[in-house]
Amino acid sequence: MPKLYYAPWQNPSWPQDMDMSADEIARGARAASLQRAQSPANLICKLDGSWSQDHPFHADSFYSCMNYRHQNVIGDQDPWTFWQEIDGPLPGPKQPVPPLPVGLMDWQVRALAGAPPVGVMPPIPPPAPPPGGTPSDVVPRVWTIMTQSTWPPMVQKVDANGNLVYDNSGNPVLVQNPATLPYIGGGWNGYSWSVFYDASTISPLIAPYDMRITIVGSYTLDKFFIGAANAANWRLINLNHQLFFWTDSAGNPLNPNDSTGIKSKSVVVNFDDNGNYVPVVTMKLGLGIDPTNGFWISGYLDPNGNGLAPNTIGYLGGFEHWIFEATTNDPVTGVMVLPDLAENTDRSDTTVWYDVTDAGWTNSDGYGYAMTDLCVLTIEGLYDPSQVPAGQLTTPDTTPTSRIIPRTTPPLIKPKPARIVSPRSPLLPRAPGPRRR
Amino acid sequence: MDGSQNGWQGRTFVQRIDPNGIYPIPGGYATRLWVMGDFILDSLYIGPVSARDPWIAAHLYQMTFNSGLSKSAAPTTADDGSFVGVPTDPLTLGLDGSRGLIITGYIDPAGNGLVATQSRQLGFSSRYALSDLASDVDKRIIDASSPYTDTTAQYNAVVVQMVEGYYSPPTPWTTGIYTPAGL
Repeated sequence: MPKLYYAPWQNPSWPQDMDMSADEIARGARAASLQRAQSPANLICKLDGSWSQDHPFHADSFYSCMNYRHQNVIGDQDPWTFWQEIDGPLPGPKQPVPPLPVGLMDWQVRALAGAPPVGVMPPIPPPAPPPGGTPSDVVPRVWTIMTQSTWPPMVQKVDANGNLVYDNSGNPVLVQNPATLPYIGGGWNGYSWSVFYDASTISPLIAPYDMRITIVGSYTLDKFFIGAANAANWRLINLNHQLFFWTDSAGNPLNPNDSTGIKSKSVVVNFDDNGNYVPVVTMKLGLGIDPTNGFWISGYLDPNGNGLAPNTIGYLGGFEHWIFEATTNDPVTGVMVLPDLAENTDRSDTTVWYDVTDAGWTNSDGYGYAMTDLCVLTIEGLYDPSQVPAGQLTTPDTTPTSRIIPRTTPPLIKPKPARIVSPRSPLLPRAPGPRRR
Repeated sequence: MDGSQNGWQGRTFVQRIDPNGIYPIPGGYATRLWVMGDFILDSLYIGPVSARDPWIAAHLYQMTFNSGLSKSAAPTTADDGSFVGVPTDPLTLGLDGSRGLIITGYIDPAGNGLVATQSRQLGFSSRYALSDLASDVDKRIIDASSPYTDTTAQYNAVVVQMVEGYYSPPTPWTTGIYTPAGL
């Protein structure tokens, strides 16, 4: 078992001793030696319950000790000797502190009051074994699509002849409806935009453990946020959480396991050489957002990027996702300007936010239609498998978390195991062997 | 944090966090706090809860600010009125959270005395006393003569926004939080 620097029976060692003087180190060594001589286990202060493991050099003042003795041990007129009750209400031994979590690095939030500030991601507890189970019974969490650009996410299967497929009981057979953004529009350079996802299009309608978003198109995305819609006014965002990307220094997305990458707020999204979308997945958000009032996704496209934003079209009466874009006029010249308002949380401000979906168009047949999705292909949530409705597709979690940033650290030198040499017992006669000449 | 309250000049605040409000339970290699409000903080302590009583700290470690140069700090608000979180220096100890943590501090009688608060926060509970008792490990309310008043029903959290732990394992050369001169 490796030595724990905080073990009270160990002499002070690094990093405990890094700010200690030689005298303090020697004093600590003597205290540790005394503790080893007394007991290898933890000691507890009878006055205030301090554990020696928490505070190796704990001490109370003489008067505090005498006062405790006066109140609890013997009366003032009693003789000096006293035998303590063996069955007194002493606290039990302290359980050993569990090992440090694997994978956490740098500063991590351990406790938080209120919503996390932008950029702060509390760690997510790992899945727990079922009641009465062992750690080996832990079921890994899975990703599932909470909402996607193409609605609905599940559609009835169609056979090769174009007929709807039913099972033996007459129930429709459902299959995944692939997420697509079939149209594309240029000129989105410099625009702030938002998409609202109504709660009726989200499943499961419970907060996940973590989230990630897949986007496509050909543009440079400077900022990207997700937030929960306000319960009283769906056009308000409770809090925008910034999403990050794992990129190279030029902003091109990298494989999440590429240790040369950096955590970046912006990303370059593009086509492949055949003109197909290359999906870009955000790093894990690090927390789950309550979807019961809907989601808001917001982004700001760089003015110097390609500005090609894919979209979908919905028909009047079937809108579940709503696109907003930010524009305003210069108060002096009256010329339209494009403000960077991705972080803004008020979509009800009609002086800057324009409801693209609500405006819509009418086709030649008189049907109203409008853009209903932009750039975002899927929003995925990380769930315990039992939380995902039956039939909804899931994928295992394989990406590293957004909080675990690969660091270059020198490899620790593994000590060689000590060579075991059996001492020759002096009591045993030496076995006879060939004589050497 | 979702609220604030003024008039905290000259008070000791106590913030207790139960184990169910803490993850991870092991404290890593260092500890840091973030405080919020508009006041002068004279002293700030953190310690693990003792086995004796949930409102007795096993020991209280004093936090510092400004690279160890100051034991006090003056959190304030931004120009738009929002609170600005102020971090302490790292305490080079990981504090075990298996019985919870107690954070306590004394707010100077001068200053604005406006503290940030948070209601409906699982695992958080709060108290105050009308004198400087910050370094006292015993935060119990035993009877009417006890100096503390419980404020958990009003707000679960006061002053303390976050507790952080440092989890990068130490290397022979640097912890990432403290680099000896010359390295």
